[in-house]
Amino acid sequence: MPGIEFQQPLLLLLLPLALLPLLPNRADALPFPWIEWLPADITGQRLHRLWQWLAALTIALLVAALAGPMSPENVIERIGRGAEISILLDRSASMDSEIRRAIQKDYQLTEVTQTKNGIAREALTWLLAQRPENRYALTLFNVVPMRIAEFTDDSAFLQAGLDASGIGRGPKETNMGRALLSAINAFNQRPYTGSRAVLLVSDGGAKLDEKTRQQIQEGMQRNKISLYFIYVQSGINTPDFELVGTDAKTRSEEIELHLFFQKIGVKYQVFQADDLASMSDAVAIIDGQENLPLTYFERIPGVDYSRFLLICALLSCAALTLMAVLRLESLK
Amino acid sequence: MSTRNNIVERLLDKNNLIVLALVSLIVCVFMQPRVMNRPTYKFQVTFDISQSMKVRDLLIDGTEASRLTVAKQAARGLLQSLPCGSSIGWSVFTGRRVVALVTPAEVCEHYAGLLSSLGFIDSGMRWANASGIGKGLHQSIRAADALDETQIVFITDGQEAPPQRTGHRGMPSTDKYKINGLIVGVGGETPVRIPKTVDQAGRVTAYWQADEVVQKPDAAFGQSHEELSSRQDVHLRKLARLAELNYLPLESPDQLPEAAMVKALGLDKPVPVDLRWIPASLALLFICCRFLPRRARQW
Repeated sequence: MPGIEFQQPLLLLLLPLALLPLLPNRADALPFPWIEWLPADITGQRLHRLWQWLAALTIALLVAALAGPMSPENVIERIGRGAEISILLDRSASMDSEIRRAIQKDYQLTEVTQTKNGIAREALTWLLAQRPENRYALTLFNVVPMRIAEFTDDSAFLQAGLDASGIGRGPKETNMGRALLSAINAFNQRPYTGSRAVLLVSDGGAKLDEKTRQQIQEGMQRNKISLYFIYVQSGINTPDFELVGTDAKTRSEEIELHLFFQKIGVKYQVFQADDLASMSDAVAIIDGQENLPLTYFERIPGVDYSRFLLICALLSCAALTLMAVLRLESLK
Repeated sequence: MSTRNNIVERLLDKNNLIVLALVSLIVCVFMQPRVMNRPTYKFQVTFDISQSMKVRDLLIDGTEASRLTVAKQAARGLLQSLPCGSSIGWSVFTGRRVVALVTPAEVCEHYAGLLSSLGFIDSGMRWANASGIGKGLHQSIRAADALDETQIVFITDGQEAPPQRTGHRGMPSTDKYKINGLIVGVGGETPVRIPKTVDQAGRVTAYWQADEVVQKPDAAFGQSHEELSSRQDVHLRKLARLAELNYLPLESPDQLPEAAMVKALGLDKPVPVDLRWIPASLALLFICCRFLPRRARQW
């Protein structure tokens, strides 16, 4: 039986009222001039005791019900399947630029444009909806990482964070290295309770210096974090990772980053945010790879006991009324 | 048989109270929550996280605290005081930009998330060093306008960097937005030095010097002290008047919930209200009256 909390604990100070019916009450005394003449009425006395205790019980139940008894909110540890996924969403000005959707279907109007941020949010919203049982953390980044949500299964709250990233414009500069390190470090003090992944959502590459690269590599390996890069293409002409050339002249920052990620030595996969088929692959691959047992905590909301107490009070009061009627009748 | 009638009458009379209690309890047990209009609130709180907000010139419970810490404490108080059905979101501001972190989320359902994201807000999120308050305020208002029925709370010390020319406000017109809300001024009244660099343990290793900051362009030599910072009540009051917001100079974090939860900033929203306490209290009253010690009536 979990402990009970009261929402209005001060009302419990009224509990001594329950003693009232137990006090000798001369109002209940029947006016007989000389009771020694009456035979001892053991049953009557017992009934009277019962009646007093019932009244006391009713009062106590009412006071307790008014004080708002609740079982405290409980957290139960459960084991499911899923992953801890740290979403790292680019919130720099470049993500605010509008692009024409890269994948044009016949039925789509050619004018369809959307901000890159909009595409990224759409993709992430879709991912959250597909796999709500995973636990997600959300960090926005530009030149600094901004942690929004620590690992949680409150998807509606994560959505509020995603929505926020669509408001106004982001700062200009980006520092992906710092962001990645912050996402990696967020795993540092956590017990290993399931598969871990960083989901990087960005429209560009980054020049990472050697020291940062080393730290990222070390951190990813130490914490056994997989890396998924959801790449938001800036247009039809942005590099296609599947056709990565080794020619140094064609190497863009994105390609550099891609090659570095491939070398880290942890699971790594790149997806295209704009392409629903690629995003479905992303979900499938994350499902397949990140499906170790995951310890998670389920919150059991507190139970309100006041209704139960009120029903008890009603029954006890009904008994009281019944006895009053019986006593009345026995006088005949 | 007048005596007997008397007894019956008295018993009925006294037990009427028990019957009344029983009736109240029956009403109580079968009572459904009533849907009533209750004031709820929807705020987007913007924190100034520029460097001057790191100035530790305030006290929380007798301990020295930075302006940002006090701002966060005030916001936490607001989060805890808002009734269920209200929502709150966070934004941060530095340089010339506001970045929204969380759009308004319902305070009871997402309490844990809101509290932890509030905890993450600190000056480490600062992506630029300037502080254009007017621009930040304008963007906050514009963002709130894009969100549905949202009011703003803008918490700042009012320190502009670089400073505005005398008479300039540095805020684009907000006339077309119908946004209500509060500007909250934090900071001490005595100008103090602004931390420039802080070591890993959080100790200030250098303060901004007079020749390192932009001084007022139209002030006489030596008259402008932009390297020192205090709560700029006059400036913030003017911005508040321009944007048609209220201004609250924060003396203690508890003032924020009080100032924010006012009728003008509330929205009446139908909320189920539990009114069972009324018949339950009546039942309690009836039974207690029945058993109040009384002297037997004389006859």
